[in-house]
Amino acid sequence: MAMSIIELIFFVYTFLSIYMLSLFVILYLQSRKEMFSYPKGKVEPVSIVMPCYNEQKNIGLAIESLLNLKYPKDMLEIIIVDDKSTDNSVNIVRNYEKKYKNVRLIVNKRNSGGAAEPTNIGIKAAKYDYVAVADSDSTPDKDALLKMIGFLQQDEKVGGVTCSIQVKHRSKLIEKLQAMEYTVIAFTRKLLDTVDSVYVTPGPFALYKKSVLMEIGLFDVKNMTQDIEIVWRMLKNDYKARMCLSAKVHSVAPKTWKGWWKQRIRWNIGGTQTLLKHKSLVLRKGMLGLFIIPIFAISLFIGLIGLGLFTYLFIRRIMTYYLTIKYSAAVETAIFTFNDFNLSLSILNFFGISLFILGTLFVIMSFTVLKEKELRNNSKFALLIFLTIYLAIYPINLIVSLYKLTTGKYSW
Amino acid sequence: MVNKKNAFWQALIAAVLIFDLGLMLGVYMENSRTGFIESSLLNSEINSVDQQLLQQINSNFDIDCKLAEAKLIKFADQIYEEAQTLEKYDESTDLTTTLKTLHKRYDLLRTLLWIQSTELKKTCNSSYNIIVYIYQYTDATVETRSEQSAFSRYLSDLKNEYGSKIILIPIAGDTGLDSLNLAVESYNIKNYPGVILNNKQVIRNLEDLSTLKNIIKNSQFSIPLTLP
Repeated sequence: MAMSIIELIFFVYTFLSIYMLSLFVILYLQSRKEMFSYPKGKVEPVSIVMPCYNEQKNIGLAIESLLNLKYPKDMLEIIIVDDKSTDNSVNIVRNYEKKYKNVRLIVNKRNSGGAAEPTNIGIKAAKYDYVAVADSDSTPDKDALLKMIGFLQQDEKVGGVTCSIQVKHRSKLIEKLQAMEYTVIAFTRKLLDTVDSVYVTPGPFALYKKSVLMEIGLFDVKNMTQDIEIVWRMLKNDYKARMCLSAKVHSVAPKTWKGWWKQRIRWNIGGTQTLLKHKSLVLRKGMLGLFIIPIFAISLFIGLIGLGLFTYLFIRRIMTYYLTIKYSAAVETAIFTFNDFNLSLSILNFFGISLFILGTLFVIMSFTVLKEKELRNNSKFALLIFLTIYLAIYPINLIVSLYKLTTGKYSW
Repeated sequence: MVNKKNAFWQALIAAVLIFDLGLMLGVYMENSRTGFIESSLLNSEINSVDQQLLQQINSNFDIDCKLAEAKLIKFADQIYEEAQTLEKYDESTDLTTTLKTLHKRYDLLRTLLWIQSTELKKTCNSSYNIIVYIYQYTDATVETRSEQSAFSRYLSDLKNEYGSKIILIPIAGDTGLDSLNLAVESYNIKNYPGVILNNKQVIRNLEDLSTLKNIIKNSQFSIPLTLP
C-alpha cells in the first residue's frame, strides 16, 4: 500500500523519538564523568521556605529533616507559611517555633488554594539572599543543601538549582511506577542540564537566589505549575537553572490512581499555561526558545495526535471485529480464524517494536546510572506496566487537562 | 559544559542514520517478500500457460478430461493458497508499491484461470463448481471490509468442506483491469463483494450464501483424479 497520512504521522513520531533518545545518549556519553559532580560551595546563610496546607501527618518530619541538614544551624532560617490549614498543622509548627529559634511560622490571611502565594510570602519575609523552597511532604538528604549551593555561587547567571527527586514510599504499584518515572526524569533532567535546558525546579526542594526571584517577580500565583513557569521566566531574563544530581530529596508521591490522576491534571494544565504564556519566545531567548518551548509544544502535539490516531485505529479495528463477528455468525461460519493473526511484520510494527526496545533500554540505563538496583532488578512487572499502560494513560490525562483548562474547571 | 551545537547536530545525524537504516531494513524486508511472491507468480504463470496448452491439446487430440481437470484443480488450489499469502504480505507493506503491481498480475492470472475453468467445464462437461469471488481491494469501508471477511470465511469453509468439487477464485474487482471489468460488468456487479457461481448465478448478500452451499451440495459430481 502506498504511504497514508497515518503512516506519515507515525514516521514523524518515530523520527522525533529516535532524535530525543540519540540526544540523551550523546549527552550522557559526553558528560558521564560529571553526572554526579557539583561545585564545592561556600557555606552562606540560607532561608528555607516551606508552604503548608493540611499537612499534619508530614510537616513534623519535614521540619525535622530541615533541622537535620548538614549545615550550620546559625546559617539556616526555616520559614513555614501556612495557607490557612484546617487541621493541626499550625499547632505542630508552633511547637517547633517555640523549640527552635531559627524556625518561624507565618499564617496566610486566607487559603490561596495553591503553593505559589504562601511561597511568595515566605520569600519576601526571608532574611537571606539564598532561598530554598521545600514541600511539606518532602525530606531532603542531609547534604543536599551543601551540594546545591555551589551552583549558585559558581555562576552569577544561575538563578535556581534543582535536585534529584525520589519517591519516598515504594510499596504500592502506583508508587513503584512513579519511582521509575522520577528516576528517568532525574536522569534526563541532568542530561538537559548539560545543555542549559533545565526547565523546572520542582517544589520538593529547590534553591534560588532571592535577588533573582524578586527581580523577575516571584512565583506566578495563577499558574498551576509555578515551579515550571518561574524557570521559564528566569531563562527569559537571561538567567539559568541547574541540576545537582547527587543531591536528593525524598517526596511522598500519590498513593492512589485518583490522586495520581489529579496531580497529573495539574501538571498538564500548568505546563500548557506556561507554554501559552511564553509562546512568543519560540526561536528566541537561547535554549528556552530554541529547544525547551519547541520540545514542550511538540510533546503536547505528538501526545494529542498520537492519542487521536490510536483512538481512530482502535475504534476502526473494534468496529471491523464487531461487524465481522456479526456477519460471520449470521452465515454460521468461523468467528475467528488463524488468518486473523497476521504475523508478517510491517515497517510500522518494526519501528514500533524497535522504539519500545530502545525506550526500555533507556529506562534501564537510567536505573543503572542512578544506582536504582531495586527498580532495575526486582520490579520487572512494574517495569512492564510502566512501559506499556502507565505511559499510555498520559495522553488521555492530557486531553482531560486541556478540556479542563479550556472550560476553566480546575483547581489546585 | 557540553558543546551544545555539537550534541544537537550529532543527535540529528544519529537519528537520520538510525531512521534511514530502519527504512532500508523495511524496504529490504518488503522486497524480500515481494521477491517470494514474484517467484510464486512466475511459477503460476508458467502453470497457467501449461494449462492453456493442455486444454488445446485436449481439444485437438482428445486426451483424457480427468487429467486436465485434476491439473486445473491443483493449479487453482495453488493459486488460492498464494492469494492468501499475498493478502497477508499486502497488509504488511507500507513503503514499496511493487506488491500492488504483483496483485494486479495475480488478478489477471486468476481471470485467466476463470476463463480456463469455464472452457474446460464446457469441453469436458466437468462437474466441478466455479466460484468467482469478486472483492474490493482498495479504500474499502469498515462495513465492506467486515462483509468481505465474512464472505471469504464462508467460502473458505466451503472450499475446505468440498475440496476439489470447487474451484474458488478470489479476484479484486477494482484494480482497473479491462478484461476483468468487462467480465464482471456482464454480471451486473457494481458493488463488492459479489460471488458468481458457475457463470450463472450471482450472490451479493450474505443471506444468500446458504443457497450457494445447497447448490454445491446437490450438484452431480464425479471425483477427479488426484495429482501428487
